[in-house]
Amino acid sequence: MISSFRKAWQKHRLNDPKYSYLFEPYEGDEVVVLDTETTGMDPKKDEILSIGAVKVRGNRILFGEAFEAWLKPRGEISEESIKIHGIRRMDIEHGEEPEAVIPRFLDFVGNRPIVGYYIRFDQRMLSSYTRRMIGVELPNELIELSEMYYRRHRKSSPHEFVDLKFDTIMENLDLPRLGKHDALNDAVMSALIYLKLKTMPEYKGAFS
Amino acid sequence: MSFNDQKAFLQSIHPFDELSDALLDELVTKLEIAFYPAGTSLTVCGGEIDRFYIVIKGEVKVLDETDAVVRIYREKDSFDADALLEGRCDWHYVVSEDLISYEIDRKSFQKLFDESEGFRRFFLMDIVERIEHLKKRELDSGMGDWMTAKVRESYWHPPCLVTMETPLLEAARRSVEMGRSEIIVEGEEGSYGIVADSDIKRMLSQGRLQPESSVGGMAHFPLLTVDIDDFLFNAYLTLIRENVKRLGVTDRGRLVGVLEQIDILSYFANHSHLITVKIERARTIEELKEASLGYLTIVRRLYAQGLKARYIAKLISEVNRKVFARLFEMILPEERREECALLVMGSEGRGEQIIRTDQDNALIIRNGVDPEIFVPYMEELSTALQEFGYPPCPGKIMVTNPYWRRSVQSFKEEIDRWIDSPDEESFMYFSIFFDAKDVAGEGALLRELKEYLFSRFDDHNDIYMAFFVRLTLLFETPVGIWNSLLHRDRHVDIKKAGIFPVVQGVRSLALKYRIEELSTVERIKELAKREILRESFARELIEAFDALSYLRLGAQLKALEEGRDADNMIHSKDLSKIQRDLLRDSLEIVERFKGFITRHFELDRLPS
Repeated sequence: MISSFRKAWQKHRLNDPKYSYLFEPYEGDEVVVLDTETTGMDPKKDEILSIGAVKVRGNRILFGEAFEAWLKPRGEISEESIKIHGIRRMDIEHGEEPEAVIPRFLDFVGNRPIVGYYIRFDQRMLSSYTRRMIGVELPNELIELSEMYYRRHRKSSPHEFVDLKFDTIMENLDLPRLGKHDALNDAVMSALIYLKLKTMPEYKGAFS
Repeated sequence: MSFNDQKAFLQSIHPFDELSDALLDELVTKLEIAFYPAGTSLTVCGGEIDRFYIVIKGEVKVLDETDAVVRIYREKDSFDADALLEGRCDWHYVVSEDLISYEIDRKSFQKLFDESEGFRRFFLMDIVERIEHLKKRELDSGMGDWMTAKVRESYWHPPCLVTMETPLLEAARRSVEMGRSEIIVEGEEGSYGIVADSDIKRMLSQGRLQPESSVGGMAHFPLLTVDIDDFLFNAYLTLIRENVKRLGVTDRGRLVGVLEQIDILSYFANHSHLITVKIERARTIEELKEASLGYLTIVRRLYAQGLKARYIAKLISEVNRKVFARLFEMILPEERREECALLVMGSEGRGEQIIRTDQDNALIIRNGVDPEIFVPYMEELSTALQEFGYPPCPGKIMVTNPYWRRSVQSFKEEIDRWIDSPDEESFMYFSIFFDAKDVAGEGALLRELKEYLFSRFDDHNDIYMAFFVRLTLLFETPVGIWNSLLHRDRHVDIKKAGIFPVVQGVRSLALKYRIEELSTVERIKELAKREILRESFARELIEAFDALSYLRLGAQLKALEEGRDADNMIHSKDLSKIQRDLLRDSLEIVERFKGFITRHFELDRLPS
């Protein structure tokens, strides 16, 4: 109820009618799994360095049509981010202007639900670009992987500690690493997590 | 970049490494990654298959109509090109461990197939060629050294070099002194000619021989030459192409030697003909021993050159038989030799024992001759064989054991007993005797026994036959588990899993159809000739048997190198991906052969 109100409000603020499709209800059978790499953890001042995304249809990741882009940041890249992502200044010197990347990204995603690991963070980062460019936040439905995992992994008590680190999830689900950490590889691995979790039953409580 | 990671993964899998960079780049844009939980059916028998799968992780079992496992795919395996090309699939594919796979749609696969010859060749090859291809690739990676041997390293002879004016008689005398069968004539400006023994013979027979005239006028010019630093292989090609028997060897244009065809061949076989010559010339047991011990070097060399296991086995059993025969002559007085026949049995009888793992031998004695006479001779023979490196048979199936040293009549009685009151031991005795080959003495004695043995098999022996055949199925053949065990060390007894089932099944068919050939390969060929086995399947079975023998030989040589006993264990960690594919394909054929044997002898109707 609240979300539909919010959505209507958002749509009202859209300043480019070309993107009104983002607000259509989605009726297909695909989702987009995405991952971003950023200069830091604060959507207000940090920037996106790269975006990797893949469509998932049924039990298949459409890898060949993957979306992969590098963005040219305005500010400096923090030491910390260099450490986490292994991206250096020189790596993104041939990055594109966000004005060129974001419209392509929106066309790729369309109104599909978006899946990711701590996806709300990626959504906020992306929204700070879309707000500037088309007046609205990214309105797509979000599916949170750590939550999907938690619902299926929790066995006994709702208070039990569940380790939700990305690598732990990969390991517990016995999924292989495909290449090094980068936005697209992490998106593909997130998609594998999503596909595997979809085939597993949710924990419904000890007495259900 | 991620696309590069996927590209690198694909490139690590044969035949994707055959694709050009451009094709790989395009392929990556068509790639899908799929996940299937265990239990998923990818397709059913007779169903359609519209994608090509490459396993990233997980396991897929392939089942036939009866739900028997035909093969198993694991990491880096791919399937199923045949089904994709034919548009129909004969098997049932079931995911047995959660599967993550790359998938390529039919159209993209077809494109790779159309545009890359290496890729196409790989999939169009039938299994026989595939095994060959895999073996060849393995060789290439190890670079067979016979391709790189230089003339300098081979055995050429110093030339019998004379001037144009030398009288024939004097030149001939010199060549005889040097032990040469040709005279080389030095012409003007570094040109050379040749007068071979055969030329002299021809002139003699035509009455044209004039011993006092100069050789220059009789010589053939020019003598074909090869540079001392050229590849021996090129010298060989020249000999074949020009159809000549000799080449001059030159060092910076100057003649330094003569290279004969036989020299090249013996280099490639690494003394193998020299060894047989040595064996025949051996005067004492000590000399014979020396000659015989050289066999392992030959085996190593031939194995490294990638010669098929059956040819290595053939060569080695020739050598072994010569050793046995020579030893027999040295030990037994002449008058005793025709009163008996010395047999080698089992794998040695079939000519399939490459590494000496045991000596199974026996002596048949003519009826009426006292067997006791042969006791000391047989003791001496057996001791000598042990010194030659044939370990004694742990089951005492040897001429020193009175059981295996009897008269024709007494052997006939044993054959009756084996057949009429069968037990585990008599099945074994029967089997190894069935494969017996006479190597010295009076061969007719063995022929008489073999005829007797076959004559004992008629319609009343169905039950014996059925139990004999059933030994084929005694050991499990692990189809599939060998595919891609990158992280786990597995081992398999390749004799039990692969070699024995083929030997026993083929032996059973040989018994039923009275085939007298001894080697498994010859028996299979004969079965194909009589249309008992389909020609194409016979070929596959021979190659599979050969591949298994080749893999076993590799493991045995490695064991010997490391100072261990040569056994039949194959460890996955010792195998390359190519060898694992070879093993998998071969075991799959063995499994199909077992199926054939079961149906052919209706073993499923037999009480167990």
